[in-house]
Amino acid sequence: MSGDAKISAVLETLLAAKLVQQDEQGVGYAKSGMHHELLCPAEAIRAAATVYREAGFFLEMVTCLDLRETARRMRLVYTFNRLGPAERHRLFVDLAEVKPFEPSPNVKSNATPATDPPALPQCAPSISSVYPAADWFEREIFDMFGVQFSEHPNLKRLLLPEDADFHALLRDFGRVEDADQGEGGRGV
Amino acid sequence: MAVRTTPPLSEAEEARLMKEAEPLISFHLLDDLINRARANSLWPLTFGLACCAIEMMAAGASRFDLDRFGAGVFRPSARQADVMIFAGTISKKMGPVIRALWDQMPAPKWAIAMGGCTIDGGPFKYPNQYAIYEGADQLVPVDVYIPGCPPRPEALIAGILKLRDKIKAGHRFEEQQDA
Amino acid sequence: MPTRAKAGAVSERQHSKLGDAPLPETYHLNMGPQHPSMHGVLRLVLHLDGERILDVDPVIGYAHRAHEKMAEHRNYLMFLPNTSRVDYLSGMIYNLAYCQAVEKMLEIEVPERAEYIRVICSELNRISSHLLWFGTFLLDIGGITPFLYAFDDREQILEILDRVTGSRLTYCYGRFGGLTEDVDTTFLDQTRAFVKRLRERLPEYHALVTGNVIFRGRCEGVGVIDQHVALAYGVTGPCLRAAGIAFDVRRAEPYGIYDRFEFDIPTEQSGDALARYKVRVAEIEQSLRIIEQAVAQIPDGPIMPDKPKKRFKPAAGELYFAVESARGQFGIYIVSDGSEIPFRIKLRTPSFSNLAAMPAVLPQTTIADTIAIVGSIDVVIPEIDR
Repeated sequence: MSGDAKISAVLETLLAAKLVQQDEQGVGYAKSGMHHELLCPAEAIRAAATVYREAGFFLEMVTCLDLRETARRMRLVYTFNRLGPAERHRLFVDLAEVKPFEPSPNVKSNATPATDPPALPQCAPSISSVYPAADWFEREIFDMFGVQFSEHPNLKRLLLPEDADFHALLRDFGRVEDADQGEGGRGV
Repeated sequence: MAVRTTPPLSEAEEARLMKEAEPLISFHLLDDLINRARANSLWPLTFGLACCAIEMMAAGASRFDLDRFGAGVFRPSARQADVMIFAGTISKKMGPVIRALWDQMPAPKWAIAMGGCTIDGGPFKYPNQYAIYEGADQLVPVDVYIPGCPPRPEALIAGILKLRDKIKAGHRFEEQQDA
Repeated sequence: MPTRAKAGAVSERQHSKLGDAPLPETYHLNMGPQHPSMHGVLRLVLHLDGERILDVDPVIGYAHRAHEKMAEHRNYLMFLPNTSRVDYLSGMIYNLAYCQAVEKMLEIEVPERAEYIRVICSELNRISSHLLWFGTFLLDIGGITPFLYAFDDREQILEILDRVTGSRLTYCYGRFGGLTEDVDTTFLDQTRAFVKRLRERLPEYHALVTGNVIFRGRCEGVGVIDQHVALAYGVTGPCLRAAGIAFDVRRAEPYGIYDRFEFDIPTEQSGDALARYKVRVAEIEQSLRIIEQAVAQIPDGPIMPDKPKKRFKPAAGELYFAVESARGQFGIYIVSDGSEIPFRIKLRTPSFSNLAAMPAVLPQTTIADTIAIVGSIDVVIPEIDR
């Protein structure tokens, strides 16, 4: 199956309902492992998830990308797949940055940050009512990135200790170039 | 949370104290006997943290048979255990739990740091590592360190034999004497 | 102990005999993180009505080792040793999966011989994982002898893999484009001998365990994960196949050269702990079949490309690559920004989703069943916590 495979029934439904749109940057299955690369506005993600649930898809993964340095946004990545011959749908949901990115004083970034942060929603609706699997994925994202999910039943830290005061996977947290490379420092 | 330390003594001062501390009556033979008994029936705590726990299990299973050395009686409760084998990475979240378990163990007690993670963080050591304790000795005093990632079961057995020698020789940790 | 419902009747077994009237008090029981049956450092907070579980709150993160953060600080090659430590029981599968993912990003061709060796090693690794599960699961529910049997056989696999990879558990055998070392005829002979040996041993396993009345009493109808729950939580692997869905990444989305081998996907219908046991034991047989075919077909040739790349710099983009680990679908999501260091590596680990289903499975069972259920799911905690 390749990226330009036939448009599946579930995708037709989603496109017709204007819940998602095709990602123009998509590169196809052979390169990205995604059969369909889609964009979805935050407010539509729950409706989109419901369509997938009704079509018998399972929630494979939810994760987050910290794109504050280059695009001043957080990006949620959802993948849905079938419990049969693979048909992976990848959805990007863009959110506003959780807090301004702090460039490292020790390293010159060659990223060119967008000057105007686009008007994006602060948080995404939780889809844990549709897919209970999302409960932990969303908690992990909250834990690691500080992204909030509205109407999540139990949004608290998942992996880090409850009293942790940082979000570990933010790009400006715990940078190696900021570390004291003295005793015991192994560097990269 | 840090291991308790005492201020360093001068050599002369230490020698004087050692002389003063010598018992008037010595039960050398009895002490020896008790230590031998302790060394030959070490009961480890059933307690795995990560990858090394599998090798610890392998050491207790059919091929390596830890029972040959009297150390195969894994106890699920800290209150029945003599030796804590740190088998795996110690996360920051796990640290307080380990300290509580250590405190629950009755003295005399010993600790074996198994694998790179419990020595200095091992493969997970990098600048600004936020998730783990880089070494078991940040939490409890360690008697024997076994390098490896993970150490082979033979290495664990060698470590236990080392600990046996240490116990037989009568070495103790300061903390345990007043525990 | 409350009286146990008669084994076998799944619906009836939903603890009708425990009574429906709640007791005036709810007990809270903390199981783990140090508990002999919690497979390392899992912690379950059980809310109990007497012996009956009302609700469960799994607490994870006690083995969080920052794999994903480390990936952002190292180049692609330097992350390689991490992979087998994520799930140390199927370390080979994880290690090779990461290699395959990066190869796909860089469009590196893998020589035929290396592909076959990868399949043999992965399947050996799968069997060793299942054997360890077999041993510890039975240990959890009170049988010590099977543990010793399983470890005896498992040591045979470790010996074979140790000889070529240099490690017993945390393999780092794969390289982008192939493997570190070639195998020799001794390896193939040992593998053949092992296949023969395990085929002879499996009937012993069945005689010892599968028909055992106590074992069946502990497992039959216990901890049912039905298709509905499996779909809702994204449960994969043997737990899913025990619920009657024949989903296996090796078939659904063949990677490497898995499309060249004949093997069945064992399934069961009942979705209980016994079904999961049966599926895993049947999978051992299927893995033996794959190994047998691969050993027979393995060609001569190089194990690395003629001109291996020295620098690994994938173009900017993303990739999701899935494989079937011993516990289910393991996915690697790599985002590259065009540099030598990954922008983000997300590991979609099967135990994470399988364990997440516990709040849907454990309520209305008993504490003793919890041991059998958590044991039968086969979780590896550092894989969940990453």
